[in-house]
Amino acid sequence: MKNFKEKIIYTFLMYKKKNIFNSEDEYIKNMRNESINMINKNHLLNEEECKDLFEKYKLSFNKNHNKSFITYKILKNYLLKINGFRIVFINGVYNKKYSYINEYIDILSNYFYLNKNNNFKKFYNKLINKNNIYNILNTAFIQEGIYINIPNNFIINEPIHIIYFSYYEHNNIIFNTRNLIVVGENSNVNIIEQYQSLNDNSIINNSLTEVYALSNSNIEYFKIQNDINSSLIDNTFFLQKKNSKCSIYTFSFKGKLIKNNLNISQDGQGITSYLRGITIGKFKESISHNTLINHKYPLCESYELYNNIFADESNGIFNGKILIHKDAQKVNAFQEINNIILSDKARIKAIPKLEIFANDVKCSHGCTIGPLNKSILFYIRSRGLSEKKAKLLLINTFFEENIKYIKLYDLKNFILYLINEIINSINY
Amino acid sequence: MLIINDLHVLVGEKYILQGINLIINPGEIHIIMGPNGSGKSTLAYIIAGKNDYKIIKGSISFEGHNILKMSPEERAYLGIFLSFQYPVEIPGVSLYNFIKTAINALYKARNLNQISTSEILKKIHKTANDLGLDKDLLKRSVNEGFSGGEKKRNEIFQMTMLEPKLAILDETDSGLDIDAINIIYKGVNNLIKKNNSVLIITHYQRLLEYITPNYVHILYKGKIIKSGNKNLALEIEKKGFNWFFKNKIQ
Ligand SMILES: Nc1ncnc2c1ncn2[C@@H]1O[C@H](COP(=O)(O)OP(=O)(O)O)[C@@H](O)[C@H]1O
Ligand SMILES: [Mg+2]
Repeated sequence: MKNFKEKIIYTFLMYKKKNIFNSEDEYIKNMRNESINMINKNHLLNEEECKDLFEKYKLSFNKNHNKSFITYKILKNYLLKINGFRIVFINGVYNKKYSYINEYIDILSNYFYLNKNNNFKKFYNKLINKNNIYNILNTAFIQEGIYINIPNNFIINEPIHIIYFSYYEHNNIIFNTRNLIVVGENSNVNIIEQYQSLNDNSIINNSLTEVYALSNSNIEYFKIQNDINSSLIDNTFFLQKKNSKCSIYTFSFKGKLIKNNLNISQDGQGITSYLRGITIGKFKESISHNTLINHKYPLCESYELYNNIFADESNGIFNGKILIHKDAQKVNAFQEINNIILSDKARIKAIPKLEIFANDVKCSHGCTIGPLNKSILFYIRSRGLSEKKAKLLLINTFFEENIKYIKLYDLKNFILYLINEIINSINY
Repeated sequence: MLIINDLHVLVGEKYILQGINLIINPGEIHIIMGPNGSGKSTLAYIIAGKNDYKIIKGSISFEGHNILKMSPEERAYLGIFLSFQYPVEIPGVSLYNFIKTAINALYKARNLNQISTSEILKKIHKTANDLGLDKDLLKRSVNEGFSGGEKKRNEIFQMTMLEPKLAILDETDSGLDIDAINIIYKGVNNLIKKNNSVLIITHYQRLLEYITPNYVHILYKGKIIKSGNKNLALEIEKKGFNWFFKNKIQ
């Protein structure tokens, strides 16, 4: 039997032989080749974790998208009941029929073939981490790129809901999705991102998203990870230009395995980044967050707050790195990670890492790990609330801090609804 | 109503309650006095259902129920209330919501018809008014950033709202000015009027200027060494706890 590295290269060469990549832009072709060469030369695949994860899985590059049985009626159940725009993908392919967008939003699917549109080359594949196997794998096997361009001076209050449906007949599929989102200068957008499988075949979604927040833009980005059947490897890179403000919410609610790699790069002065996360681990779920905030310029800020609970035999890892470069004076950077453990068998490991090379900065991190406060629980129960109600009350307030700034009323309610549904079903 | 029979309790290795006997009937006011560390709060917590303790002997029954096996909330359903010596802060839960949730939970557990939110609201405002509880506190998180006095007022407020059959006041009067003592008096009076009972743990005589207890007990090193009426409290004032202890063992 081939090992995974051989499997990858074999699969790639097979596609090549079938001329699958032939009509693509040279730029894309080169990137694929470059990635495969790296995999070939490199030791990246020796990573234990990667081996475990991928051994059983097969890379999908399926050009046959006839999924006409997937009707609106089926999809409707998963679409948010929120006014706004909707961008729907089915198995990684943009579905115009079920999408609903504003004429000003530029969506380019299949842009790999559009030689004449060179704009995306300015942005595509520029932010990724070339030492990371998930990134390289995605670049080599990405099937259709999505380029969402929000023009300058574009202010909309309704959210843009991007939803990726997947339906695979087979088990153990690795599936690569790729987004490039460019938000123009002075623009203001809310983006909701969601992955949803439509059957219970086990798949890994290896997703890579590059987001550019141009000068003075304001992005509220919501990741709703709520798919019990699939695993998600989320690689997200933000590049923020001067005076931009980005709030990135990561709601890790359900999923066999969730790996978040969130990278923020501040490229200009006067930038603010908010990272907010809620994690609810249960059963044997494995949920990790790797965050990196790269402060390169003075007079910038970052605030990171993750509130997590872990029940049953779930486990979590939090790696939070803040890097403040030599010239990044007068930067405020705060990180706070709070973890509540609800069972003896749940595990959480938190590793904050501050690397500060500037001398005039305010930077701090804090981390708490422990059970729910027993004295508070007793006080509440002595007033007549059941043990479960008391715990739910405390968990709800624990999460409140991370939700209260959501301005989209419907979205906030939806998030609260999901939280309630999940924490009600947890074993205490 | 409440019958404590030969109760012996350990905290860790420490033998804290060494055979407590106490009977409280409906409509009675009992006062427990005793030096610091004698086990007063421990007794209060055990009645309310805190489970940090090892009960090695004895029983507590409340209206015929053996409550030692019951959860704190089940005891609350029966009508037991503890005003905490050190009220706990609950960040993120407004006092208004907290008391509303508690009332609904109690009504539900007792199979009573739910009372409407507007009715609860009315009662909250009336009670807050009567007790001089600052209305702003209702909107704030329970006890968070409350002054010592505000926390104690809040305990009496909750007690009055929940109308327990047996209220235990653990040093609710400590550190309060005369105004606030008057609030305790009001709260206790409200309960007694309806034939409910009150167990007051205190260090001070001055409460007796307002409240006339049926019994006063001295708890000393885990034992009730003497019980009496109001006059016993005055005697303690003069002679000190030690005198009673020495005279008892002689
Ligand atoms: N959780 C505990 N762990 C260890 N010792 C305790 C604990 N709670 C109370 N004690 C001890 O038990 C004794 C009685 O305490 P307490 O009931 O609070 O007394 P009081 O309220 O009369 O001042 C004290 O010596 C105290 O130190
Ligand atoms: Mg005490």
